[in-house]
Amino acid sequence: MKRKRGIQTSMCRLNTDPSGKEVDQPRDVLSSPRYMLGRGVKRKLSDCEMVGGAGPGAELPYPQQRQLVLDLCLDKLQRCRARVEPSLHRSVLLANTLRQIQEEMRREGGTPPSGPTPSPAHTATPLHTPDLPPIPKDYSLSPRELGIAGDCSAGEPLACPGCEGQSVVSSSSEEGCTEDLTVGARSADSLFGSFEITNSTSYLTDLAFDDIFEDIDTSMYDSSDFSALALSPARSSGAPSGVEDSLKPFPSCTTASALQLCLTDLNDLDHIMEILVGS
Amino acid sequence: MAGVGGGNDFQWCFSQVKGAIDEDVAEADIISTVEFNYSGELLATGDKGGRVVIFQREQESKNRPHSRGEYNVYSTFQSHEPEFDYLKSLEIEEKINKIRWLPQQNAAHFLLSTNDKTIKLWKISERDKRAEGYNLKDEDGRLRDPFRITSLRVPVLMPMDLMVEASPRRIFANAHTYHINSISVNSDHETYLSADDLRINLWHLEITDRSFNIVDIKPANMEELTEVITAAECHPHQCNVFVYSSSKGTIRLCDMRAAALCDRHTKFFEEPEDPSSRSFFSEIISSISDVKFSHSGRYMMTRDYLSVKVWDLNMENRPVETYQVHEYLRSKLCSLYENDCIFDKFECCWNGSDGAIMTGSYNNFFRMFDRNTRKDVTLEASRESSKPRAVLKPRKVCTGGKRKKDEISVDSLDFNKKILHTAWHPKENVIAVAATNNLYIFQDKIN
Repeated sequence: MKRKRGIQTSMCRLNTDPSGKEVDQPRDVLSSPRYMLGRGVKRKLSDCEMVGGAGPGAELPYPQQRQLVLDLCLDKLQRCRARVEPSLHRSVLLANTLRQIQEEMRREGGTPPSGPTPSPAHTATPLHTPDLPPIPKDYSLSPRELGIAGDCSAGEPLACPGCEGQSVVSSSSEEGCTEDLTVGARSADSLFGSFEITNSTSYLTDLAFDDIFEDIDTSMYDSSDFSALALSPARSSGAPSGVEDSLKPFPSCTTASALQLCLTDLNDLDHIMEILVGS
Repeated sequence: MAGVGGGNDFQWCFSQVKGAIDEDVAEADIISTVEFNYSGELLATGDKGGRVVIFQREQESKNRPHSRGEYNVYSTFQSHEPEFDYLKSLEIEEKINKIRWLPQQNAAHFLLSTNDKTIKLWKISERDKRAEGYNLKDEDGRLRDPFRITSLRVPVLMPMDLMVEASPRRIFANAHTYHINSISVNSDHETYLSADDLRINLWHLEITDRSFNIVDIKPANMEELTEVITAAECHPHQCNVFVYSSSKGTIRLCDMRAAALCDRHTKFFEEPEDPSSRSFFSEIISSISDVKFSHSGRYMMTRDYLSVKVWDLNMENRPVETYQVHEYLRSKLCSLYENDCIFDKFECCWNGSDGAIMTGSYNNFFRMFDRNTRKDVTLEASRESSKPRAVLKPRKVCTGGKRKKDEISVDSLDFNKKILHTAWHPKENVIAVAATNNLYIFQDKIN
């Protein structure tokens, strides 16, 4: 019964019409404990107080609606990852929604990203898998690794077509990040200090991995889950600024999470999303 | 026997409710699957605690004409235990994701049950006699000293109280990296398929150490993953045909004769998106949570978040019928997204003649649609109306405007009470509805 009331009051209506009318933002959403904690996806209190005060039928501007959904998306993905074995289904749905919003923002923003436009699928799907505690991935090895992860069980040729010459990174916007990561992986001491498995991965990859483990499902190595968040500050410093107003910077938080440090503009937001869901 | 009870045909009435009345629901007691066997004589439920409970229908007795065969507990057993995968450092939940009965071949019954990773074949058999009079063993079952046995005695079978035994006959493990969402016994009665988020495997019921991967949608680079398999089922008559649904709202029909690996579908069912109803949540709500072939094998039904669609296997570009389950929630998607309800996986089922379909909703409501008359009805599984043979009153949700008497407003729906799993007796109008930890059984009213 208690819960019921909570849900009722937190009913915000999001019109399906993209022009977005008639959305009443509840007061309770913000007072829910989730948003009080430094989760990294806090919204400005004023955004919603105003609307909540206006009662049902008040209009929430479309950009704010979108921001709300986006924030929730990030929050959910973050919590998804925190779980031991997150639901892949759910992560994929969330990541796709995130991509969609991201794409929309990019189109609206009118500030074409410098360099070639990233492929639509550039918001990487969160890695899921029964992954171990994050295994940092040495990017220089990953194409091969991923090729192997393509799984031989289906009788596919072992030489995966995607493996030769092709970099894992498909867009230049990601490359910047990759460089950082590669550097990060090299000077692993500081960033990956806690993950001893790093080298074992590359060790395995150096060997004729597929021969040895032909019969074993290597999917647990599919996706490294390197602690990308820890890397983001490295890039954030040099980020250019200049975004439309709709993209409210995330309020900075007290916790030290990298996510919260640097959401200052669209590019950074992209970057964070890439990292958060990708890696 | 068409009719959903909303019209003149008949009315649904309460028959039984199983499970504790307690307000405090233990997580382990939450029912996670419901399934009638082929004759409808048995009804199996699985729960989050890894248990399987089988109910058997009592024979109708002539002395009590009004008591129509009730379902009573026949057997209860622990199908799956929580496990720990040491290699991956993961806990494997014991929750039963699906139960599927095998067609009955002899006196015993067989069923498949699965959790996220492991499928088990169970044999449920009766024993009402026991052998007595052994003289090779003493009463404790220990072997006697052979030198003290001077004569051979033949044991005799003595009648005893009926005992129902459930024994695991086969364990199909280690073939799924992701979470198993579906199992489906093939019409050849020899094989079955199991599907997880990215792969579908084909098994022989007798062989546990080998399965064939028939669908694999795992991209070489997991970052490119945008779609997962959400459900799969074998065709009821053609053993080479199966379908699987995806998180993008599409259904692929595959023919196993085409190739060993059915990565290329034979048919692709997809309805173009209506641009006017597009929202941030379009993709999430179009994700298919269940797919079921009709008994005839001509149609299939899919459930997405807001609707049920019936597809003719001969028409791929749109469903032949679409039924709105709870369209009034469309304006609430943001909240449902926030509280995670939008990820709920509702299942759906056909009645025995394929003339009606049923699926669940929130507030312990469930919906039935009559395909011929296009009538629909909303009913509620609740303790309040659970008097013997009480007629279920159709419920109405107020969708804007002034709330009439007997209507419930959208804002007062309880989203914690959801009916995800329902089952329809294969031959009669008897339905089983799982509401959290309670199993409700309803029947059509006899006049």
